[in-house]
This record gives sequence, C-alpha cells and structure tokens, in this order.
Amino acid sequence: MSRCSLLKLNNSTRHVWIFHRPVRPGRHRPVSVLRAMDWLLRIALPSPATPPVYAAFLKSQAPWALDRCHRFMIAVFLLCSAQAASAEDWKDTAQIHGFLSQGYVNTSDNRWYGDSEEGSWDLREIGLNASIRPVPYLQLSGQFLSRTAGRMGNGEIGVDYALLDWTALSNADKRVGARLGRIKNPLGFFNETRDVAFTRPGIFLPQSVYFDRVRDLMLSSDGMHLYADWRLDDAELMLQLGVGKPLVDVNVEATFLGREFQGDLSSLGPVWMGKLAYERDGGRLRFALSGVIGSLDFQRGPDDPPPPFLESGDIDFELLIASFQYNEEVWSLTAEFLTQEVVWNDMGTIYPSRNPGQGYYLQFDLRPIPQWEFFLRYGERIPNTNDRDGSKTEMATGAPAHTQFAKEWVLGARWDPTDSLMVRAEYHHVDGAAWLSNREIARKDTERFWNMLAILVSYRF
Amino acid sequence: MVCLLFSRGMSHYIVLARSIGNPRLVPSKLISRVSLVVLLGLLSQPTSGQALAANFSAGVETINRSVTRALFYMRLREWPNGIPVKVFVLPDTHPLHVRFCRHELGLLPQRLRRTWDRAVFAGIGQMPEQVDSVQAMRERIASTPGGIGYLPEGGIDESVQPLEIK
Repeated sequence: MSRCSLLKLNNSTRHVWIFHRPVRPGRHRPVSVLRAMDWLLRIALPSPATPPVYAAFLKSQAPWALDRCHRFMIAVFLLCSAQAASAEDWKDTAQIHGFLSQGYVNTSDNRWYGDSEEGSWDLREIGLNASIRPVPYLQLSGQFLSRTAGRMGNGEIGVDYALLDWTALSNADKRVGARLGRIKNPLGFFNETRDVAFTRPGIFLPQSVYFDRVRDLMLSSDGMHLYADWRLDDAELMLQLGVGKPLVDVNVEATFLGREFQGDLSSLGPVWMGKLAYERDGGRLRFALSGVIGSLDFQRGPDDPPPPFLESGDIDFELLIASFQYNEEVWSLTAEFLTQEVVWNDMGTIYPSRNPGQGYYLQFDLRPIPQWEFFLRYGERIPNTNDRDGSKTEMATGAPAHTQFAKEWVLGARWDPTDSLMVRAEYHHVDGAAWLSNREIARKDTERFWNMLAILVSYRF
Repeated sequence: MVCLLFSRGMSHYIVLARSIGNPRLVPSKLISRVSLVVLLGLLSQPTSGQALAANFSAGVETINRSVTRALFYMRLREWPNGIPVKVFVLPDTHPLHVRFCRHELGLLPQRLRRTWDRAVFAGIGQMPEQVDSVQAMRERIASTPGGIGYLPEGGIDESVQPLEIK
C-alpha cells in the first residue's frame, strides 16, 4: 500500500483536527505528513491551540486536495503566517557581525601577499554577516567578504557563504540536520573560518596544510551538507557529509596547471567532502578526520600549446586531513597532517600523471597571562612525495628544486587589548618556496631561504 | 594535597634543622602554624559560587553536563518542550563568567569565544546575548521565555528556576 493511499481520508475521517486526528480501530496510525505538520505547528505556535483557520480550511476541502504535497505546503505557509503574527519574536533573533583586518608583511626575499620585500600592506579582510532564526530549527545566514592578498586576492566583494541550516532533530543526545546553499567546506580545524583573523592560529593559516594557492577550491562549495552530532557522556561526536560544486578561480588554475592558459578550467561533477570530529571534555581533546574528492575539467584554448604538449583532459584531486588538538588552561598543542593526490588525465606531456603530496604542522600555544598568547610552530609541505628534494622537477622542467618543498619555523604573539580588538605579530623562517604563488613570483625568481615578519590588527563586532 | 605535602615538608625541615643543631634555623611552632594557615588561605579554592538559572518556561529543573555544554556552545537550540533556547552570558572578563566557564564547562572564556566564532563566522550558529551585569542577567532570564544563564549562588531568587547539574 502506498503512502499516499494511507494518507487519503475516507468519509468517516474527512474532518481532520490537527491535534486530535481520529484513527479507525484496528489500523496502525501511519507516520504521516500530518504528524510532521502537527510537530511543526506545535513548535511554531505559543500554545497548543488548534488553529481554527487550518481546521476550517481542511473541512472545506475534498479529500483529493489533501495529498501529501498540499498538506506540507499548507503547513509551511501557516508556519510563516504564525510567525508573522508574533513578528517581534523572530526578529529578535537577527544578528549582524563583521570584522576588519589589516596586515603588514615584510619578507627578506620572494613575494608573499604583494611586494613584500619592500613591505606590503596588501593583506586586508573585510567581512559582514547576518543570520536569523525564524524558528528554532531553521537558520538563514549569509556573509559578504572582501579579501586582498597580494595577487592572490584583489579585494572584490563576494558571497562567502549563504545557507539555510535546518535542524531536523535536536534533543539532549543528538542533533541531525542539513544545510543548503553556499557552505564553507569543513576541512581540518580552521578551513571554515579561514578568512576570520581571530579564529586562525596565526596571521596566516599554516600553509603546509591550508595553502592559500588553492584557497577558493577548498573554501566553500554550492550544494548540500548533512550533519549529525551525538552527545556521549563527556564527549561529542560530529559527522558532516557534503556534496557541492566548488569555486574555481585563477589561483586554482595557476596551481593545478602551473600557469594560466587561454583554455578554461572548471569543475567537473560534484565535489564530495566529509568530516568526522571527536571532542572530549568540552574540547580539551579534539580529533578530526576530513577530506574532499573532486575533479576539474580542462578545455584547451586555440592559442595554448598544441598536443601532445597540452591537451584537453581532466584533473582528479583528493585531500585528506587528520587533526589533533589538546588544550590545557595555559597551553595547547595542535597538529594537523594533510595527504593529497592530484592526477592529471590525458592532459598532455607537460604534466606528470600523478603527484602525491603531504603537509603537516605542529603548533604549541602558551597563554601565561590574560590577554596574551604566544606560539611556536613547525610545518612542512611536500607537493610531490616522489620528489622530496625537488631534483627530478628541476631536471624535467628547470624550475628550482626548492620550489618543491617548504619547511618553516614560526614564532608569534597575540594580544587582545579588548574583546573586539586583536593584534598579532609573527616571524617566519622558511626553507623552500613550495607555498609561494606563481601568480606573485615566477618560480625561477624564488629564493630558497627567506624570512618574514608580519603584523596584523583585527577588529570584530 | 598541596597542604599535605607542605606540612610534611615542613616537618622534615624542622627535624633536619634540629639535627643540624642551629636553633636559628628551626622555625618556631608559631611560625610553622601561621605559615600553614596562610598557605591554606592562599590555596583554598573559592567554592564554585555560581549556579545555572533558567526561565520557568524551559520546564527543566536538572540538567547534565553534556547538555550544559551543548547549550552554551549554542548547539542545542530548543528545550524538550519545544521552547527556543535563549542563552545569556556576561562579558568574557567578568569574574562570574570566568568561574562559570572554568567550573561548569571546563574551559577558559577564550576557548568558549572561539567555539562561538567558529560557528557564527561559518554561518552555522549564532552568538549568545551578552548582558552587562548580574542584575541584568537575572532580569533577562526571568523575562525571556526559554532563557538560560548563570548567577552567583546567592543571587538566585524566586524569579528564576535554579538548575541542578547532575
């Protein structure tokens, strides 16, 4: 028996009362859309009163009109009207937040975030977001973002995220729901808020794992995510699974293709991502495993190098990040490890068939006095583990060997003079140029050993 | 534990000092006792001193720690009876907020703030409402359906429902 036939009303049950639906004896009461609407309306209305408008409407309708879709739409419409009647309640849930960060970068060599050898102010992030909860189980949020990052970001205002978050089930033990729209990719500990300076573990995210060169590909995607949280005794387990269309920009082209071609690089099919996180004791111990799988399609342009050097083909990429954090009151230890695989399919002879890459970092944070934090970090990035010292790449392409690895030590400090203001300073010593963007500096012009001093001031509200 | 170690250490020192034979090294009984009392005074942790309080419409009287965390992490948004949760907090530097975070949630205010930021700036959560004083906290909890916050132990009155953490 189909669900629709179970929901059809015969003459004896024609008059349906939302909270007092009669059930014929001997029949099992089906889990029906009516009960779902029951639940929705009970939450929406301040008192469990049968909405007379709805009851009267149902009385007037013939059974054929009360099929599943109609009932659901009626419920949603009434929900919205019910909320409009008590407009003050849901309007009170509206929140607006934002941030403004400005940084200064000075490097001994190379170019990072602009002309950094001369001192670059091309580090700016401005964001404004809004969110509202018309009912407890729905949140609508969106954020505009403008990011200036040397030649990797031109300060254009874009939609960072815009989503609808629906919590289907929420109780003391678990929470299950879905998100729809442009959603930040839940990769590692920091990807979801990577442009928000006061949520980062330093002025820049550890480039060994969160390389800015392919930021847009990793940042967010347009699609749908499902999430589930389970609350255990003193721990929490969180799962997120998502599918979406990624954003592909010139930085992604430059990274996956090595340079910009006339041809077009676009997403091929959906990108799948997932994150499993475990937190114990309110976040004293945190583990996470996250990953993304996707493909890009490349169409050669007429002015691009001809076959067999360059051909139209596709690129498959997979990233997996394992994350760990331990937090004590005065100190914390964070470690993340990335493994990635990029496969060039039928792209021509200038591309290897595959590059397995790795990156990791280890960071120690100290909070000896209120408002102050200090950290020490070591990170390494190897884009191709088959060529750790870069010698094979140098022989094949002439690009300097040191562009195939980057090892860094970072020492930094953070001061929060007020709740809204943050000041950061850090010093990097880097061996290698793997995470420099070839849009900012040609590989042959990079120096192997370089240092960086960076300062950032950030205001939030 | 520290007091026990201190007193044992003190007694060992006294025995050693006496064995050396220099009377000036041996602290008098008065000094030993005073130092122990002072140490006890310095080390004594303040009693937890704060309690959870909720609006009566929430319909709960006891709560467990994982639900407390879920509420203050803004992950649990409605009470079992369907009333939306409204969380109130004091500023990050307010001593009551610091004590509450440490004792009931087991973390520093900065970590709680970062948990909120990670959700708010990814579009998947909202901030709790910040109030300026304990008096304002009490008034908002009492007058907001579904409200929850924390007050000093002596500050709970009949206008709010105290919640016992199991």
